[in-house]
Amino acid sequence: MRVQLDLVPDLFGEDEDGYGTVPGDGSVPVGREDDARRAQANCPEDAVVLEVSR
Amino acid sequence: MSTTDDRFAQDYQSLRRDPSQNRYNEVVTGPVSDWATDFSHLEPEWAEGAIGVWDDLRGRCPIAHTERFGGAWLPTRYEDVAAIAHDTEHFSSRAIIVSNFRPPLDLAPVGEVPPISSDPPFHHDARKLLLPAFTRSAVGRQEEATRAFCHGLIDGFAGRDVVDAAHEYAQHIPMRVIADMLGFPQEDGPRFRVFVENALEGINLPPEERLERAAELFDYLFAQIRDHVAHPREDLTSYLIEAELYGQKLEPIHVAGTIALLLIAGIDTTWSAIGSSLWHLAGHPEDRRRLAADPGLLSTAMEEFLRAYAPVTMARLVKQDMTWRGAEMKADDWVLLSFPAANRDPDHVDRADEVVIDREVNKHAAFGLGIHRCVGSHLARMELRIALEVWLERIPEFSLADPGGVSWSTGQIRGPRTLPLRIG
Repeated sequence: MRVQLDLVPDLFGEDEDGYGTVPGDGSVPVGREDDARRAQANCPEDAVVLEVSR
Repeated sequence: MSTTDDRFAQDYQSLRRDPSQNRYNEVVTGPVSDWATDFSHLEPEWAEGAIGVWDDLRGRCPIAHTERFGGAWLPTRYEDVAAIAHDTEHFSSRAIIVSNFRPPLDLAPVGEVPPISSDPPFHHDARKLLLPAFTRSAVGRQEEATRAFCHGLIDGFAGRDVVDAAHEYAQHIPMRVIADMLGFPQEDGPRFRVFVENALEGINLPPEERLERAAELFDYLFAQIRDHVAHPREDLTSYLIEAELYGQKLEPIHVAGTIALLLIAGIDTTWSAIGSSLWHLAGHPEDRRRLAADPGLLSTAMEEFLRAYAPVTMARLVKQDMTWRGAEMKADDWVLLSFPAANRDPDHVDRADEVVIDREVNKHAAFGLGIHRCVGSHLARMELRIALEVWLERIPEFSLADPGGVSWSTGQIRGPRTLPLRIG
């Protein structure tokens, strides 16, 4: 599903069909954890999955 | 060298489906006796008070029924709306606007206006064709022209104290954007408005008249398409004329149907969202002042307006007789997927009946759910954002000039159609 890219600009990329992509290895950049959580909390299709690594 | 494209040489009348294949029912109009058993989204009570109707039904029903339209259902809980939107096995998109006739079964899986009227597996491929035109980056290229257009509309208000924000502002923005994307004459806006009203609000007209009006839209589209075949351009119409599916160019009726979808769906929906947002701000000075003072709030405020005043309800047709969560659904019954009602379900959203412009978590379904989720959501959000940004920058002080003079649409797209605002 397409993610709401406007809410957290530049945290996600976009493929040629407009589907959201996760840049690089998928790690959330330092300092953007709250934005990632917002994206997850707001996705109407629950398509954003966050994993916490230690 | 390419050969001449003669797919559009025939006129629409010769390609049109035989109307005797439709299954017609009696047209029932007039006041609703009980919203749980006789609802109608086409009566003035709905236009005035749909939100109250949904809240009432959600508490006591929660899936309303009507014998009108040959039988239709109206779920009002988020959970039910979401389940049906995701269930393409039991519910078809063969027709998505409730009306007084059903198109024949063999119209599936393509439908008249693909891909919104398409079922799997065809749907996926027809939708994929459209995606590149509606990415966030593609839509971003329309932003500056949209902003300039909004400024131009407001320039036109110079010297006036009261304007109709629905007629004179909101409706023009999506009309201009979609006309530019399709490569249609900008001055045809008034015709688009008639096409939109015929498609979405003329539901209870005699079916033959409805079909006649739909034919007028397709005659217009065929003329535009022929002009693009003769003079190709860098726009969506030329793109669809050249597009291929399964190694072949599209059927002429597919090209015209998709363009019809983009024209109708692109206009009424965003027009309604812009109008509802301005209506809310005009009636809630505290929200208006906060937003005018802090434009950074617009991203959450916009989502909240989309949630609380979601414009779009789409329909499905039940595939086979079944009992669905207690409802005795019959094959070919309509189901109205009320995303607006779902968005106000207190089991899904905290403080569902309040408009909270800085709401951080907002999982609304204004753009639908599942495979038919709005393909133009980035476009709609861009238009809504720019329309509100420009308005608030230019006219930070405004109020309802005549609260009783505000009128709301009937039918599946909900928004203000008359919105007198005091701006001076």
